[in-house]
Amino acid sequence: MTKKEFLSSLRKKLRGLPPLELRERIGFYSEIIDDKMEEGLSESDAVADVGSVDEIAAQILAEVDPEIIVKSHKKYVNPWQIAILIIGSPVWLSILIAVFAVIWSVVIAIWAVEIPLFIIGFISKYLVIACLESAKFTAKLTKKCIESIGNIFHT
Amino acid sequence: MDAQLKRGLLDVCVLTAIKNEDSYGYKIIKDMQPYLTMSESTLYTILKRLELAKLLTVRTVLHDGRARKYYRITKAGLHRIEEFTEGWNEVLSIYRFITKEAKEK
Repeated sequence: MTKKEFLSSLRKKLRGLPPLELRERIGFYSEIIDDKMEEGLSESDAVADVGSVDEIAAQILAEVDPEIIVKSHKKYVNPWQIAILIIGSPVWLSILIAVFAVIWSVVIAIWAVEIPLFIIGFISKYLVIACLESAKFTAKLTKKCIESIGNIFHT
Repeated sequence: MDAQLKRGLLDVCVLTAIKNEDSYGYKIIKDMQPYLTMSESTLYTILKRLELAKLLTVRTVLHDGRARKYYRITKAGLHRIEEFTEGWNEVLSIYRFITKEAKEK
């Protein structure tokens, strides 16, 4: 095994650790492997000399407070959260646009005193209605999507 | 051996390895080799603990184009070694007594 393979394999196994500690531990092993090679060992011998990735990872994870591992795992975003965020974007995005449309129309109303207010109001009203309608539609669509995804997992 | 006792012993071992001169990870393990074999993970944990307890300091040195961490003992670290040695002289006397008694029986 090369040093790179060893370190990346170890890094994967220790993924639950806090990032700083993970970086330091990997650096520690990297340094020791380099020192062994400096003494004359070949790369594969130096890596073998350090021990097996599984044993080392098991030892480290046994030492580390399990609570710390759980806490740092929580920082990783659930891929489902990202998926739902993307799928649902027409909904929250439309709502966001609707809110901005309302704010913007108020701003215009305040500043463009020359232009008849009812025209601005007219345009803004339809902008808001259009956004809300699209939000309603995409909300229904999103709900259908999530339901069908749920069905896939239940079968 | 009692886990806490062992931890205390190993801490002092590592401190002794850096007592006379600054040392680095691989060299510490090598120096202790004739007496005991310590895994790299164990050494890492001990070094971290000693650093937190301010018994040693760490600095990074550029060596042959790569970074190497050097560990230096502090006054408190030297004091810990002294305390330990004094404490253990007592343990040794007791041990001699126990084994003498055992032999006589």
